[in-house]
Amino acid sequence: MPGFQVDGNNVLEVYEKAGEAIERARRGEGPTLLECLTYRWYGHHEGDPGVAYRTRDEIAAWKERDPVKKLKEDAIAAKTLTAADFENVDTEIAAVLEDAAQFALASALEDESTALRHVYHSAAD
Amino acid sequence: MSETNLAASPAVEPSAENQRVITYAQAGVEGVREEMRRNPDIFYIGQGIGPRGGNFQQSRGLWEEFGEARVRDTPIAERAMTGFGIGAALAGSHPIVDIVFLDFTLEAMGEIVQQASTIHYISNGRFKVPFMLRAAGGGVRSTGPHHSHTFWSFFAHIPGLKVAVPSTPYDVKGLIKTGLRDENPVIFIEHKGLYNTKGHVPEEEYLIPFGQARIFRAGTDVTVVAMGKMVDRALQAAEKLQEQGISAEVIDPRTLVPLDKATILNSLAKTGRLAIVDEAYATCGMAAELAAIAACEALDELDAPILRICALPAPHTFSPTVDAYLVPSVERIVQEIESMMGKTL
Repeated sequence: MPGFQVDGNNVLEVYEKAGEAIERARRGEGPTLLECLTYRWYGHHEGDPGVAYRTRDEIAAWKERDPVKKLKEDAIAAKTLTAADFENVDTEIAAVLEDAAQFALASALEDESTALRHVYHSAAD
Repeated sequence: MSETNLAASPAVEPSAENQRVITYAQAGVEGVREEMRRNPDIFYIGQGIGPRGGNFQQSRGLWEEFGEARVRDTPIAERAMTGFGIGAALAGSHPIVDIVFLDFTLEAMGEIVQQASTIHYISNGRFKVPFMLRAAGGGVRSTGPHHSHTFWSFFAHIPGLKVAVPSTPYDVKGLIKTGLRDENPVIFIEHKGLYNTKGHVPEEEYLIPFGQARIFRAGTDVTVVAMGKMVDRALQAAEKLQEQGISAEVIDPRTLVPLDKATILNSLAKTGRLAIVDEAYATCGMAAELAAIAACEALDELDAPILRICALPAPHTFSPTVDAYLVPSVERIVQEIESMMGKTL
């Protein structure tokens, strides 16, 4: 079985190698092993700094290699997209998140009477 | 699609002399085949269930009729098969995932318990998981600790799953058909030791509703609830007890979830005594659950302590003598019920 090691923080490299592996599988030629080297920036949960077992310098070095930032820079350099395009996406997503957060904050907590609803599907629902 | 009227289906097989007789395994195949003809969304996957027809011939002929697109062998990867089935169910199919040996459902437990049982609930009813996990439990020919267990209480413990445990060919066909029309995850547990047993099974369609116990034998002195292969042993024990003037009522719940509590409690109100015969272990098992239901809901009806006749608490063995000793025998059932008859509260 062929195997490849790729830069897991390089979106286009992962995309390209994964595409080759998928094509190979679809041709009926079997599986491919793809090892994408990357890093988890945060700890186990939001608020966990995750520095008990690794250094802040190591985390900072990996953050320098931010895959989203790299994709953005590559796309702008290749003139595929402009900085304004990325800003529009950021603004749009921030608005979606803000709407969702406001909806959640404004909504009442779930009524206890619904606790046993939808445990089973029923044709009557 | 032809619709079978659930309400009009007989709860037990008609006792006509000229009824067709087939095996428990054949009855399962027939039920699945009828439902696959009726519903093109049903497909069937498992290990060796294709051209081989299943270890127990429980899928014999399905691959030949429905082809590779709907009946397909999988690699030995229970978790992957089960997750695949659940995903297909979410996408609109109605898969049957045959794990064959109930013991190996353990390999897929994360998918069954964490995914299949929860998705309808956590999606607030938006998604449903019409999915059947089929597997055979129980001991046969002392095949050791990895192919003999009766883990049905694991599934009955989990909200969101339904659990069917047929004990006769008639019930297999009627219950598997009902299970394949249910849009919840259904754990369909046959018994390996029953696949070659024979019984009357109508050629026409019928459905057996879930949550409807079957009274196999009417009696007045003691209520005996038994499941799977233990139903037959309880019936044999009841015949021997009758010779001593003890009249046992033998009930098979047929589905553990939903559970027909009413039939059991009505019987208990009549007899005042409850014995549960289960090939699974007593601790935290269905016998414990049924005993708890009787104690919590019908304590006043009890004239004697509740009796649990279960597998002894040890792994199954390859030794025919030891394995037979672990599982309730007709003799043990008779002895324990005799002893119970002399007790009072």
